[in-house]
Amino acid sequence: MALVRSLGALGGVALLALLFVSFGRRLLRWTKTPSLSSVENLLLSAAAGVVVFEAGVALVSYTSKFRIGIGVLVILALAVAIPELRGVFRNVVATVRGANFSAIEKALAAAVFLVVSLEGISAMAPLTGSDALHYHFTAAEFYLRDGFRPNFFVVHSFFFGQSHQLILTGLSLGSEKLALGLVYLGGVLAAGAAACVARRWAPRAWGLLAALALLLTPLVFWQMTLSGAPDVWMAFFVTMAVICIASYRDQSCVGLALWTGVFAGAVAGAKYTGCISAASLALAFLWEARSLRAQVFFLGGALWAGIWPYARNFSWTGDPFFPFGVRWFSLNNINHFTLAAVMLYTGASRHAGALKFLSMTTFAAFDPARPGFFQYYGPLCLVLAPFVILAIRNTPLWRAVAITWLASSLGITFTSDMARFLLPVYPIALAASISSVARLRESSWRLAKALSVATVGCVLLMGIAGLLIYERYPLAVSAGLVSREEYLRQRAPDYERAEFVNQALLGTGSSEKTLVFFRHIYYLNVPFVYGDPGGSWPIDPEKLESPEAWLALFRRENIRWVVRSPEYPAAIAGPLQQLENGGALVPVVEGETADFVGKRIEDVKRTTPIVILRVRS
Amino acid sequence: MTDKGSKRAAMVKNSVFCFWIVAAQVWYYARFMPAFDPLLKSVRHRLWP
Repeated sequence: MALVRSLGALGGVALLALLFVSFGRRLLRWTKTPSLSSVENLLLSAAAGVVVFEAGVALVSYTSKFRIGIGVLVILALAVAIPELRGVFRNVVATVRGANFSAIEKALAAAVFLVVSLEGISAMAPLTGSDALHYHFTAAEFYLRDGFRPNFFVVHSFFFGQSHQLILTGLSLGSEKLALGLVYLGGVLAAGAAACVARRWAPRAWGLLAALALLLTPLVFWQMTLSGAPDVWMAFFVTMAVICIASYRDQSCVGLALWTGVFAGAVAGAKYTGCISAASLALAFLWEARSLRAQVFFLGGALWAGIWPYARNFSWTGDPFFPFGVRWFSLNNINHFTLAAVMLYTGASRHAGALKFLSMTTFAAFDPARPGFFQYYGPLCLVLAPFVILAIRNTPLWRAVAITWLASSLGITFTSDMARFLLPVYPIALAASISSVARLRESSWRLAKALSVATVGCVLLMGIAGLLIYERYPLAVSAGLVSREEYLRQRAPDYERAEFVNQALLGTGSSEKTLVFFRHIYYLNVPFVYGDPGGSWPIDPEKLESPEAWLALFRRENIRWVVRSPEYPAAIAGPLQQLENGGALVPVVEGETADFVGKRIEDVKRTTPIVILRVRS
Repeated sequence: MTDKGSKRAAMVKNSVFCFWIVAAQVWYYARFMPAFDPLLKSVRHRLWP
């Protein structure tokens, strides 16, 4: 039954993908955008459809009627898309029929299909991604539950960008699996786009190889399946924007300029660091299209597609980049402790040098303090870097790829220093790296070419092994071999704590809130506020130094319960412990829950006490 | 360049790039070993809890 549900949800994702492609195709027709290759046209249509849909959801947000609004949006998109359905089918059939694959291409295409299928089933597992449980999905739930208003207690909820609108769409249509599937769809489309870029330089087999290498990159399959983060959409939009920029000189059409801008805007609107990739795309476009008219269309498209999260944050806080710009935009609203913690978490407080830039550019940067899949791109871009330098030519595609890749790497190195944020440019870098091997002349490069191909093969084999090891638990739950509850207890951090609080407090009063300090709050079903000062703006240790200040906060926020599990955060433990010792916080339920110790991948758990305390009125 | 000269140049070029391919991978995996530590710990923990 679980497998049927997983396949059903994947079917729903496929239908939504068809809707986006058909909708986007009509939009491209309206804007008189010229045709590219048949696969590129399908991907371009998908990108256009998704970005415009996301902007529609952003507009609907202002009504706070998410379920009705998104339902209406889907119907509207369907009405626009229906006349295009036949054309899309014809395009797909023509692409498949005209493919005429060789034996090696058939094998590669089968491998791509197999990996995409495995990842699709894996993506249908219940949500366990750490950041997703804290804010990617939780912020969407806040909107659905409380309407379109800020939640300062989860400061990361202000990072809710345009790609998150797809998560909101899935959840508002009543399905977490659909939301997860829409995240996964971004990865599949990014692989297709990477193949198109590689195909422009090399025979088709190399394009398929680039797609396979992308799908088997640990960071990418983690992003597509378990992370629950929509960042992989940025990779798709950047790659499509690069294809548009490379096509601009031949076509010189304002439609293409507009959509390039729209995709750049979608990247900027997805995440703050996306602004760096968007600026890199703007630079590449400026290089290729030195006409004021084209630039105006580019800028207009970018603003229209990407301004929404910044406008929202500005209207709520006065700082479009909240909380990072609060020192300049909103001086009277600073929580220094939380700001420092968030900057440390996002890597914004660290500094980098030229060596770091080189390792970032080749996707070989690594922070030993935080080992994990989110840093692991694999060695291909580093190993094949010399071949890229040999292969580079003064063509529009090379210029667009080089400017976007290098400028993004430079920007990320000197602002956040986290290699994960380079994901948007990874498909173009990987496509350039892999296709550069194809361009080596067999006669004078026999040995190096053979070793390069062997390296790519080994990396792919390791990727397959990594995929099977890493995704074994989600595959098991999606296939129904393990129950949802059992899987969540085993794999989701803080799930037992949330379950304990739900069981103890459900039905104790609908408006009274619970103050919790554990990070992963998505599975809480009771009204709550998050209280860790490392990520909660109103919990300022400088202002909450006394028990009285805490009691005032409890009254103001209607907090009736406090959960200690097992200790209070160190920065605020003093006054809370005083309240407990003085009898203002009364223990009412005590128990024990098991949770991970250290990194989740170590799979080591420890049982710790959990206490629910009632605030004495 | 003579045939012999161009062959030698190709061999040197190939050797340099082959060295790079191997050296870069050795460096990369040595650098990323800490990332595999948790996985190894997990396996160890399962075998000898």
